[in-house]
Amino acid sequence: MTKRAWFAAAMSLVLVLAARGAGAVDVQQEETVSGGTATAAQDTSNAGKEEAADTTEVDIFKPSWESKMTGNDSELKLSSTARVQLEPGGGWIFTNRTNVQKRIFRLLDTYELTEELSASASKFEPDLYLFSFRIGENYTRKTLLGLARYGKDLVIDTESATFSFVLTRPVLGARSSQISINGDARRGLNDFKYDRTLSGGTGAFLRYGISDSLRVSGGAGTSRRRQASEIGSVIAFDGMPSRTDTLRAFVEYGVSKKKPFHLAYNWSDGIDRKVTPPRGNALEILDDPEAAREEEEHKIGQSIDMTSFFQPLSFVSVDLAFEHNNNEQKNRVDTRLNKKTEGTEITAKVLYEYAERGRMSFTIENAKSDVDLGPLSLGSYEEKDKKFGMGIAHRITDSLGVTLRGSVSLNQRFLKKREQNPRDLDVLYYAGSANMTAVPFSGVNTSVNFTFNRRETINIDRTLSADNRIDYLYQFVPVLRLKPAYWVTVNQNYTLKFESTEFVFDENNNTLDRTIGVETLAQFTIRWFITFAFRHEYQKRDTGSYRRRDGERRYGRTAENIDNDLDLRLTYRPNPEFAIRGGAKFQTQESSRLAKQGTQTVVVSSNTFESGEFRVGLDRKRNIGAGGVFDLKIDYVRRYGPNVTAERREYWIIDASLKFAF
Amino acid sequence: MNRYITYALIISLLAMCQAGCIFDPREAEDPAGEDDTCWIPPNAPTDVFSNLDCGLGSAGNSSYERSLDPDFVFIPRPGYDGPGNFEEWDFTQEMDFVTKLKGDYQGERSIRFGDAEGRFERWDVATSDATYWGEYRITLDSGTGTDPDIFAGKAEFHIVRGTKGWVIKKWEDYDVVDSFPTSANIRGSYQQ
Repeated sequence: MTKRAWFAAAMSLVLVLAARGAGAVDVQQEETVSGGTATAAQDTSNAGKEEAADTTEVDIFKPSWESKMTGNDSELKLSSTARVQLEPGGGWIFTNRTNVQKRIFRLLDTYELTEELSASASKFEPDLYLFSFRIGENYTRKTLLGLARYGKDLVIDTESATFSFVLTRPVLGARSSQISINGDARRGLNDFKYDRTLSGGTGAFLRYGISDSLRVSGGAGTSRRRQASEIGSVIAFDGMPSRTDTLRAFVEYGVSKKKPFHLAYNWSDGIDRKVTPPRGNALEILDDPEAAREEEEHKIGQSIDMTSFFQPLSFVSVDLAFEHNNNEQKNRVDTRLNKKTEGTEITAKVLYEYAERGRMSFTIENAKSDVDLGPLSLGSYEEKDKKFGMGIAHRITDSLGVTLRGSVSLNQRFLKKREQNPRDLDVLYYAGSANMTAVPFSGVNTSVNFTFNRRETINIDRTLSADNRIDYLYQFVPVLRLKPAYWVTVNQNYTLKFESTEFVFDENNNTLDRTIGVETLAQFTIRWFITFAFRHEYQKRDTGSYRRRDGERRYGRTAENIDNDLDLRLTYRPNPEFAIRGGAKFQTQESSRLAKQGTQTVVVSSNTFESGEFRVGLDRKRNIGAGGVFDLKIDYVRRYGPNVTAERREYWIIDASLKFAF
Repeated sequence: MNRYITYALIISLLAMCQAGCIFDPREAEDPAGEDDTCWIPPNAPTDVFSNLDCGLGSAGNSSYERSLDPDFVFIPRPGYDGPGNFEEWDFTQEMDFVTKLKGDYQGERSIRFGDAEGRFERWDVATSDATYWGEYRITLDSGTGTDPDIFAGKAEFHIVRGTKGWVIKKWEDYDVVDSFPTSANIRGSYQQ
């Protein structure tokens, strides 16, 4: 641990111990001291996301401390957080927080250390204002193998002071309003540069209720930032100003949750100036500090959203949505990031309850977008999207229901520089599914699901059309769930799946994958404190393709895989705070490569792989005194397989925490 | 009343699905040459690396696309502060990136997985999933006569066995190689 980490940990302990001596005062005393502001204190407590004490006593000091350790096969994380909250009354809350966290990446010989110290004060006067002030320090150090070669870890070490004031009292005749002003000063090391930043902003948002059903609201904000950056002691960038201006407006009509009319408009315009490395690659700066440049990124954006919901008949409802947005980004140095986008989308959805037990839905979507990536790029394009979907859900009886869904969509891309970059593309997609659920007897649940997908990829230009293909998916999944007695549950899922890819202009270029699977799950409650779970999955998959031979199109298999997975788990839980768990997983896979010899398909080569794991674990939770909690989950895992790294062959999974709230 | 509405909706639906409706794609031109796909059936985890390399190098996207799991994710290296937002980098974003990249780099494109000899630092293989840790190197030639751009780093490649063979599910950068920009720098540059 660094000196800073030790200091943070010691400071946390001192704060917690100092606060521990402070007693609690009862409500009567609180009211006397603070002039009867117990309610305000309660409100601010909620604002600070702290649980309000539901007792006759109110704590002025709320110290807490938590230590955590989590670990698995890839990383170990240790953290300690101390927090002291002081609520003297009058709406004031003072908070001091110290956090130290270290992550050690077991597989990568890398670690990350994060330390955070902060002190904040806030005052909340209901229906008048909220004021907060915070000073803090953040320190993050990451050691990466590659970065360490330069003798420089990745370090982020910043100090900051921020304040904000929000006037919550309604002004200018509004039903509610918020007028805010905030400021921020910070300095510190950000990887390759040392930054000094001053920023501030102000904004206002007002809501008006013209009538019970018509509401209008809007707001505007502006922020300014000035930053100076130094790289080493030689290169300095001074006075880089940035700004952001925003505007929002809303109109809403209706009293129900779904409004007959809702309109929202957003606009923003901002210029961000900062020091950046070429292509955002900080390593080049470490190599050559003079490669740093002052980047100016100008972003302008606006969007308009309109939605409408109405019910022309008691059994028909209509949802309409319209969205339009345009955004532009211009970079002065890295011009490859320049782009201008514009998009419009219209969606209509009709819900029709044709019977007491049945409903139909229809959805139509139409969208158009324009993406311009600047004069140097060949990738600018226009895109059109159309989609139609429908669904039917019908309950034939209380125990029998059917759902049908279908959709078709077409996506078309039109390149703007088609001569140099002929990537015009259409994608036509059909999807359909049918599902039936039934409860034929008590304790027996069944369902059958059928899915069909067809996706056609059409490259228009002759230079790419050889890649045109159609992907098909057919899947049939019957499921059976049995609960013959209170102590046993058995589920069985069957899968029959066909997936194929067929290239349109080459009938011999195709693949077909066929999968048959059976999954069985069973859970037994042997005694109320002992459960045993069993899962077995069998899957057989073969891959092949159709070839034309002797004028005839014949199917030939090229590979076959047979998998068996067995998972066993036993849990002993005599009470909710204690459990012992044990489990084992066995997986075997037989892979064969096949070839045609004459009229016979023969196995050319075959391999059998085995992998799995054994695991034992313990759960323990225990209260320590009135405010302490110890929570432990620990597992020991041992794995085997064709190739298992040393770190993953045998490891512990730990999730432990110790928490005290004094 | 209900009956008439049902009839009207079904007739509208049938009318929309007739040939020549709004879901009528464009006609493709006949191919100019042979299909340049070099895809091999992914019967082993390492077949995925070969398919990704050939998928990036070939003009079409089928090999690259068929090598990605539908739940594919990319995660940049710790401390990465370059262009792009990778919180939701998924299959769609990856394919969009590859398509745009092929438009701008029309020369030779390749990805080398492993070191110069194709070796990884370590690997962990079970029957249904496999993880490889090691170097990669992406070489992109714009075809305009300038030096190719190189993006390199070290990553964890998590490969899983689905019903269509092995596919890559996660590409997570964890370190750099020399001072080369990592794959996040080029992915982020092409993010829409």
